[in-house]
Amino acid sequence: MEITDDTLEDTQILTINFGPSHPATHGTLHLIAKLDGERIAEAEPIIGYLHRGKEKMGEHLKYNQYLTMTDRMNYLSPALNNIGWCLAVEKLMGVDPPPRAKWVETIACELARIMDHMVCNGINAFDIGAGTVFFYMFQQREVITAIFERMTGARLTITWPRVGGLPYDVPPDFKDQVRAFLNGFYPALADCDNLLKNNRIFMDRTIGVSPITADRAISHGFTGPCLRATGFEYDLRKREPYLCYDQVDFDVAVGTNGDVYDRFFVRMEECRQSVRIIEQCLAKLPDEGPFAVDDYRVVLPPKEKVYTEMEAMIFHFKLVIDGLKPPAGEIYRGIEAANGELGFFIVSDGSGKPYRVKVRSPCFYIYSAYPELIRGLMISDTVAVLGSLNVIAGELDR
Amino acid sequence: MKKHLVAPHGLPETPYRPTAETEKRISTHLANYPTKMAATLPVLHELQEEIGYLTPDAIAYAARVTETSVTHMYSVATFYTMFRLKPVGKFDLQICTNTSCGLTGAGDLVRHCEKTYGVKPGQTTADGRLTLHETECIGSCGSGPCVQINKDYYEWMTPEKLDDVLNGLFQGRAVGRPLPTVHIEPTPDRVVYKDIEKNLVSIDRYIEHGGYETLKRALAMKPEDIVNEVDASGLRGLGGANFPTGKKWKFLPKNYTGPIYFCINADESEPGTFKDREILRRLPHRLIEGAVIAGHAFRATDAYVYMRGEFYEPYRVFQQALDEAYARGFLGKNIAGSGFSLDLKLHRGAGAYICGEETALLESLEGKRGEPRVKPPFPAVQGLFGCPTIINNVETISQVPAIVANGAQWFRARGTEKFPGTRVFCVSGHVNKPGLYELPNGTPLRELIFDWCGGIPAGRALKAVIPGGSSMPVLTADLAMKVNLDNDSMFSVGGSFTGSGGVIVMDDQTCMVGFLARLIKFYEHESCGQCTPCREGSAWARKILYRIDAGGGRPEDIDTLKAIAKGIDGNTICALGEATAWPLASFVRHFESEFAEHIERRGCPLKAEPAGVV
Amino acid sequence: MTENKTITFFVDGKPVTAPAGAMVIRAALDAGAVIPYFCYHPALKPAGLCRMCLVEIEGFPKLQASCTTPVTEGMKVHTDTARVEQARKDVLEFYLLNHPLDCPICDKAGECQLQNYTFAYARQNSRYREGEKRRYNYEDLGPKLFRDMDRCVHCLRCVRFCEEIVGDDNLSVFKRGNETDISIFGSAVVNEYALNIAELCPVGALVSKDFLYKARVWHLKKTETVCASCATGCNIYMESKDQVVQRITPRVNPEVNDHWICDFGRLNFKHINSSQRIHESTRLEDGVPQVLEMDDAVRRLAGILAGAPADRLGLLITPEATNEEIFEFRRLAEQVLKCPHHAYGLVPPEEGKLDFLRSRDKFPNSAGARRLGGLSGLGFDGLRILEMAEKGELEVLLMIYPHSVSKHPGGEAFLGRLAAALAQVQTSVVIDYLQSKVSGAATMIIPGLTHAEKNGTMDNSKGITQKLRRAIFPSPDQLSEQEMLIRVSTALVEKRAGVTLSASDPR
Repeated sequence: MEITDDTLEDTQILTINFGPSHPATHGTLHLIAKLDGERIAEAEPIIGYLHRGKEKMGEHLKYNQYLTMTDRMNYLSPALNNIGWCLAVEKLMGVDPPPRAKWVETIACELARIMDHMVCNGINAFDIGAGTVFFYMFQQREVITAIFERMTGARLTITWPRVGGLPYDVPPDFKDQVRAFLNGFYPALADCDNLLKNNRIFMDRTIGVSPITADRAISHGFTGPCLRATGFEYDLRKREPYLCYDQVDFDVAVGTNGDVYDRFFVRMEECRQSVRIIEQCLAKLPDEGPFAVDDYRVVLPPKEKVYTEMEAMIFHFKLVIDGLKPPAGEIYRGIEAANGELGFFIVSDGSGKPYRVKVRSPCFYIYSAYPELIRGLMISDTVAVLGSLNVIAGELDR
Repeated sequence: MKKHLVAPHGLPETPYRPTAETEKRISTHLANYPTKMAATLPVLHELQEEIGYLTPDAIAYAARVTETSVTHMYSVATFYTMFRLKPVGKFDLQICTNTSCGLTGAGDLVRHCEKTYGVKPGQTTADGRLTLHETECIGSCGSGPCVQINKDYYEWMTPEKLDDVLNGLFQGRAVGRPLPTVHIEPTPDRVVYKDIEKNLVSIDRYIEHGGYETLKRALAMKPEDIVNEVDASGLRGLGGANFPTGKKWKFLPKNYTGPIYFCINADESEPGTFKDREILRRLPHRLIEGAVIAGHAFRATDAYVYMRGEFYEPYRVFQQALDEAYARGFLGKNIAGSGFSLDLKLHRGAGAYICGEETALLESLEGKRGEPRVKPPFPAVQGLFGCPTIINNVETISQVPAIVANGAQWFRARGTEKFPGTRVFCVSGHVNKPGLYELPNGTPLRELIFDWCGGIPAGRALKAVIPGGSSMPVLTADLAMKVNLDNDSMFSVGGSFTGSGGVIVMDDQTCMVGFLARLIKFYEHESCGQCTPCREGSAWARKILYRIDAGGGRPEDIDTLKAIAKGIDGNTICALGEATAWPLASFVRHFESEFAEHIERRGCPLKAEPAGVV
Repeated sequence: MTENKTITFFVDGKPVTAPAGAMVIRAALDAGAVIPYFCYHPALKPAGLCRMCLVEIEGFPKLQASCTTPVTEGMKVHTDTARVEQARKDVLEFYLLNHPLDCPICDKAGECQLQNYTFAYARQNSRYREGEKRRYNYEDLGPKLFRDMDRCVHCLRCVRFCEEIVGDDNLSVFKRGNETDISIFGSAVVNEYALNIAELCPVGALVSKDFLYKARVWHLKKTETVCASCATGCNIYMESKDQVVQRITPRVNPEVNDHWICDFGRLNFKHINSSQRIHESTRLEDGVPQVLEMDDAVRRLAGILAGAPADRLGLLITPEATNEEIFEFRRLAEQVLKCPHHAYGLVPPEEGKLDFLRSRDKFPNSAGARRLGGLSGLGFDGLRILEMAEKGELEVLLMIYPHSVSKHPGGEAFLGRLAAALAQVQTSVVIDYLQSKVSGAATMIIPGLTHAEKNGTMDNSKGITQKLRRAIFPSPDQLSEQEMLIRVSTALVEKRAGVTLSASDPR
């Protein structure tokens, strides 16, 4: 049914609060919806419920301490945020981590991407009613969190890596653990596909729901799977390769209509491509070598040295107390996070703390299109759309 | 670093008073300098000689009488090796274990004493009659190994001879004099050592042989003329830096009306050098004559001879010569009726090689720790007591009478264009005839070693030569055979310098690692400690070298040693930095394979067991 | 000679003007060059010992120590060439050889020059493999300074300071070479400026025993303020953490105190949190002190002052007060109360200096009190008020900072007399921050603020007006003396004019 301006004058418009505390708004997302019956006449998202002042905090934390902030932005794939931050600071400092660090970070990025997509799609499916898929996907995510736990000590807020490389080496069975995951992942993904791809209910619920053209998406500032689902092939891993992406082969998943269905299966395909990337990385990851840049002005010296050599003691001390000091200047660096282009704009004044940090969070722009996407849709559709956009409050609000 | 000390609360009377005689001598010392503080070293010497060591009461007395402070006295006393704050045994046996004596058997002497008397260096026998010390170069390298027992030098020592001497001393027997001493070769046409064998110690004998004639003539000349003559002669400083003497004299400010000081550097402590001692104790009047002529040339008002403290015998002889010269009117007011006055006083050092550095010498003369000053300002502008000062070596000044008597051209007839004249070369180490050889500059080094000194004993081959005192880069045997004893040849062919003229010869059984280790230990011991590269670098290099010598060397040590040398060279306040860095760099560079082998074999490749570094 | 002649020379290619005779390091630093140094200090004679300030000067074959090289016309100095970098690396390596790994326990960490230079210039790997580092014996230097000789970099700033600035050889150098030991012989380091050495020492070899292990320096908040211990008014930083002053350090002011402060002033912050602080307003009721709210106390004060005839009122303040407080006091006394018996101090202060920094006058604001009190000459004439009180001629006596009366020459006696005189006064009010015999005898006490807790200005002995800045915050209901006096004045004026402010009076 068409919504016109007159509709809004209609006294039967019901204004409701959708969230911020609602099981279907994943994270603290608040929507003031004006309903005409079951349909959305107009919607106004209110953001900021999870705003923790992370950009302001950046002015008071040292560069490595900021990883505790980035962990908690897109908390479904913290490795991607952290690596994005580290890459930005490294570019500002003119520091290049050694190959081993870069390969491990590439693997971590792709694992994190899979993690993110598993949650996004799993919950999206769950909201639509497909509970089994939810559990299948979260089971795979569990395996990945176990890998991260083994590698970094934490499942969710990993505070890993560091500017200049990895803080410590990966465990000796890292490759085996990742391979074991890959072996179990394809079948699981195939299962989920089988359950949903040609599922009548799922298709009815998702095909044609909130389509968006590529132009419109770009004008909103979409990046990531939401943009690629519209048919526009834009992936920073291909356009401006970083880490080891220029040394591996992979395809970019692209949709056609940009609707919920396309967004869902673009993510599924991206997971498959991630597996491809990880397999190549595992083959090319050198078994030995330094895992951080050999400069104690950036990276902490090894502990045995700190306790026995004066220079190392002083470098450790100054790095911890003053922090690493990039030269004064500014930098913007974006990476292809799970949701799209995650960018960090850092202004350094030469001291151990940034002068200004600005985070370009991908889902901020995506979520700004939400009212347009759900206009005229029924409430239950809004849930499906929201799930497909993968709006994560931590990243949205910072 | 200047000190203008104020005794904070006045100093009380002390319970200690020296004997009347000592007090009289102390008063003389106090009157010898424009400040009372400058008498610090002589006063401490007097007190130590009377008591045996410096007691707290003696120190308090010294502080009071010099109007300084107890802190100052301790600060100075702990700087100089000769001052003792604790008593020693009746006979203080100091065995030189430095370069040349080390090469000729000092190590055996030490081990013999350890075994025979049951004491290690630094310890005193239970009955208190003997204290054993290892010491640094005492300036008698050509008759080594040498020891000093209390005030006397005993040269050409072997374990048996040492036992003889000690037994004699223990039993109170007088030692037979004269003691065997260094050989002086009667080379032709000597200038510095002319007539040295004729015993011209007394002024009458000196005058009989033409002494002081040139002085009378010189005093009638215009000072500028003397300066120009010396400048034209091309005479160079013979203490180590080889700086043109006339040029140095010309650095003094013109038309200066205040005091101009003249310091004669008799601190002779450069290992391998032992030439000035002979002038001081055999030809003191030649030095005095040269001093007066030089003083007249650059209008000096006061002069001091800074003599190293260990030279007890030269001190006695020279002091007597000074008294004679004063008595005859060759020193003091209106010398020989010329109207020129010059006071020349003797000042003894107290055991610090660094006081041979000219600004450290000035600090020590002023009664402080011998810490070199930063230059600029240079001594010719601001030196002793803040006044313009010239510092020259003993041998340099001893050349002056002959130059003034015979003229610059005569002097230039021998030697080379850039390094004219003759000088006394000191040869020690592994040669058949070590000793003092006055020869023209430019003489080939191989001629000195093989013709004059009779070559290497025991049929061994030459391995290395230090050509100018231990601070100069070492020469391999190859290079030694090619260089002449002048700085052009020495530098362009050998990369070294003639320095102080101390030639140390090493044969093919000498372990370069052990030798260098002991040498660097010398520099570590003598570093004044003011600036970091020398203070820390010398100790670090010494630790590494001793570790390598004992068999604990590591492959990276060679690069580290080279880096240490590079880190010290050029980064220090005074030339002691270069003096440490040059031997360190040159030994490691020229004998790198031996060092590497020593490290790999975990011991000296030349000996069955690790080299017992002295 | 060359008076006031400036010359031009070049630092890293840029032309720089400097006075003739200046050292290269001073001129280069002033022009913005970065040159590391340990032994150089602008207030001490150049020594050239540490070899960190080596620069390349065209025409000189060896690197030169910029602190002992005077500038000459057209000289070309380079501070950033490869040779200079290498020299800094090499010299630093030597410093670090024997330096103990004390950073985690060393007080100097965070303001340590060795740390800063190492991070900026040094090799990052140590080549020292000889095991033990050089150790010195522990020595106690007395109650002021803590010595850890292992950390010493032998810059001799401490010894030179004692010689050149203080004029004694308390600290001296002993032994030589690698064993060089900087120590005292016999007595402790007892001069009145010894704690300046704790700042001078570029590393943690000599640290203040008072500050030892109290706080890490990067936790300290530095407030620029002025010392209130005597009329010199040295410029200081009060460094506080969590609203407690941890230490005081000097601030450079060439006109007042150059680089130094005396030890007395440096340690004069213990009273802020002492048990002698007056924290509450109290009023004696039948001999028993009753606690009052601050607002109440101030209102009562206004009432007390209004209740007595002007010629039976006495008002006494001391030069402990800031200019603002003196101003308000004078307005209250002259304009509002029109009371002839008010004074800014009991007797004229002592003149002259004890030594190069410390004044004989222990009040921080004698000059300001005179200026703002409108006094000509030196005169403080409060003695007459004391005498009136003793004779019972006063009904009301208000005293501000009476504890500081002991700073007058002969002060302790005055304190006793004043306390005794209060028996002859019907109502005596004390505004002060420290208890004293006088506050013990007064009928009403209102707590005041120390100099660390308020803003204001004070005039030093040279007549320079300097700002006092609040370093720590007092409790929220605490009024400053200035505020108290304003309120009292306002209340009295209103009463006379019959005017009252609206009910929403923020007070």
